[in-house]
Amino acid sequence: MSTETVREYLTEEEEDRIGLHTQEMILNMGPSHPATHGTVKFTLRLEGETIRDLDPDIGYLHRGFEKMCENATYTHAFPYTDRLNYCSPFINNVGYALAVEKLLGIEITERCKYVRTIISELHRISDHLTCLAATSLELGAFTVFLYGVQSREEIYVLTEEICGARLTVSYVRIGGLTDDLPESFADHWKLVKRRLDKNLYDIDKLIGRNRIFIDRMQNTGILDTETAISYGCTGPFLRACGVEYDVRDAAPYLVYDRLDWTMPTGTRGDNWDRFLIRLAEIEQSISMIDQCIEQMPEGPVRIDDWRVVLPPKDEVYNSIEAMMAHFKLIMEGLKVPPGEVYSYTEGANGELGFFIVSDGSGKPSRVHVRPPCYHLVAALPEIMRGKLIQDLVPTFDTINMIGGEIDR
Amino acid sequence: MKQPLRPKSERAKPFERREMTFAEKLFYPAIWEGLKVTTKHLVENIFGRKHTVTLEYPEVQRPYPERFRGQHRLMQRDDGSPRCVACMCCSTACPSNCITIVAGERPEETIEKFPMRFEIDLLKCIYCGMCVEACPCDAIRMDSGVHPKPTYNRQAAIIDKEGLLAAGAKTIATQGGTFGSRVAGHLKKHI
Amino acid sequence: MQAYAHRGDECVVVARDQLVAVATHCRDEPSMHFDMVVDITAIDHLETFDEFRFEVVYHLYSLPHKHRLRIKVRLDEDDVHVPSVSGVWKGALWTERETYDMFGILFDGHPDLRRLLLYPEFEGHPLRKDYGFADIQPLVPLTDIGVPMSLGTPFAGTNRERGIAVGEGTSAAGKALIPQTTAFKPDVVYK
Repeated sequence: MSTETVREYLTEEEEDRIGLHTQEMILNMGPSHPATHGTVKFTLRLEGETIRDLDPDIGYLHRGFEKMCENATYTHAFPYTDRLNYCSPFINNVGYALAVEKLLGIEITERCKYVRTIISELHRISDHLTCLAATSLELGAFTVFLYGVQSREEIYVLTEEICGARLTVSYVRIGGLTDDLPESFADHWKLVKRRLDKNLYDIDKLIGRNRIFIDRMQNTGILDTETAISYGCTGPFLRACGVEYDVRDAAPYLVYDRLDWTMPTGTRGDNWDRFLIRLAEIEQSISMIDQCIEQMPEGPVRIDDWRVVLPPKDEVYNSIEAMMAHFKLIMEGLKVPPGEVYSYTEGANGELGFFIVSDGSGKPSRVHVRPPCYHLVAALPEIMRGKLIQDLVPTFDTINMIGGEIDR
Repeated sequence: MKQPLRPKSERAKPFERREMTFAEKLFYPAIWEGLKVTTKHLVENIFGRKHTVTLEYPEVQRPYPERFRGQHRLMQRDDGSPRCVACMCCSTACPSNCITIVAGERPEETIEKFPMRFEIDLLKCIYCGMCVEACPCDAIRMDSGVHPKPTYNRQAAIIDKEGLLAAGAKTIATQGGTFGSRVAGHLKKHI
Repeated sequence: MQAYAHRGDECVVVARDQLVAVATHCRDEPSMHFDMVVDITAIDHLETFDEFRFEVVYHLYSLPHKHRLRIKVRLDEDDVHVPSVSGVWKGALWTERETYDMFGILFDGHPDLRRLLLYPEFEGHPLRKDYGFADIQPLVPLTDIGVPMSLGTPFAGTNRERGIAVGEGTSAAGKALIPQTTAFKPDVVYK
């Protein structure tokens, strides 16, 4: 099914002669379709089973993230960023905080850098697991879905221990974090890692060499490298095309330049490459977290500047200066000098960029987010034109569209 | 043809893709391997609950972690009155505007204000914990460990001051001391 | 042309009529080789500047050279036309649509400039500063697609025995065309 080229259909005279009549069909797939995780509608123009044209219709989850940020202080935007990519909210938190810190021109503490790396990688694992599990589910491998989601559940429990919530974390603050990692983190992580290793092994056993699964994935959803770059695709999608680009490697932020890790790249740029890259990146993330826990120094997780971060609670209770700094920060919001920055981090699906314009007041003048999967979905018509409709399902899965992020 | 320019990285490691062997092309080995995995899980789950991840809710409940952000509570002074001084920090810091405070005067004491009304609309609340972070006198906390309960009408989701205080307790946080040296050093640095 | 840098982000302001020439040069010049447009958005300076109101912002990235550039085009309020760069980078196709959707900036030469995130009947452009935070949109009346609902489905007309003829172009052999839905424009083909 996968390698079959598009068959040229019969002319009208031939159809009349045989008595067979074909016509183009317009099919609405979505907005709530079991095979499209996330709320999105495709309007397909079909000729038989071949997709002649495709029009993705996004915006069903649009809630005005950018407009809301213009009416909130810089700190208030953290709960909004949690809801961008709801599979990896820590990465959004970190990306937004790094953007504001770049605009402020401040340097965070060493321990904070390590903690932010740990939580980013933790949620990269969770995002990749969600993608792998959903892909398998939609191609019929329900057991793989259960194993993947079981591991993700354990990561959520760990997340809850870190910050008190499973999904809506709002853990990172400008200039630091709300709190240090809990003391039990390293032990708990060892437990999660052991179960994760076991589940990844099982997943590999179930579908790693299974022809039923591989036939659906191999040689489907191919986009050539030039077009992918022209569309602005990044992340596992671009690495599957063989382009050695990762923001963590090209412009290292936090502590990624101190860690020992490799960047898996594919060769063909098909769905199976993207699937394998995500599996390999999970292993890399596990090793990165282990290295971070080993290297992590002691120390504070917030910078010592009361114009940016809230003072410690015991000083607020007991000294008038800390109380004043506390009140000024809460009531007026964080004052950011005028200017504009574009800050970029590696999200789970590619480059996650925040473009922030400040006019010097306590509220941002403009916050724009560059969601990684937005450019991948924009390239979807190019990938799918002339292909079969059943290849749309695995392709859309490995693109890993996240509704909250693309619709903002 | 000109070779297109591509980024080069030392970290990059292209992985090899193995073509399927004849045995794998026959479908059966993969099916057999898969059945082995699922059967192992089945046996493990029947003869021992060590690997089971599900819980028999509600008889068995997972304990919430220490930092769990649950339903709010208002802490009390030694005489049982609320510690809140109606400074409006929490309602300002709240991203979803779910806290309503009406301040009242208390002339006979050194503390001038107290909340006449203190209501939290749990339907609006997003449990981000920013009110707890913003409170300068340890009055509001989210450490009750109570998961927000569903209600039959919207009015029941608004908890008032009495409800919040009933869940609260006396706190040992002290206020009004001096924190001389560190604060002075800090001020010298920034002001 | 004007260039400045802030916090390490280099920025160039170009005139509107030179934009496509500058963009093409940035892409094709080997020492720059900006092969990717990372993002396109706009800024509304309603209260900040008098000389211009909108700035259309292009973020470029070069994969082999690992450097970035920001290009800006300044626009007046009453003339919001910009030449489209979708012929230079395909990544501009959706980002320009979104900028049109949110700011009402018209990209001349864009093959398919419609709203992306919002619905077609939306009035105004929400990210402009004069669009209020709590503005309410009018209710959109139900659209009349011209044929009865039972016939408007994609499968209508396939039953040859019933001989349903929908729309124009019904051939003698009994082939019926599907009525065009409003959402889809088959004449638009991305090249």
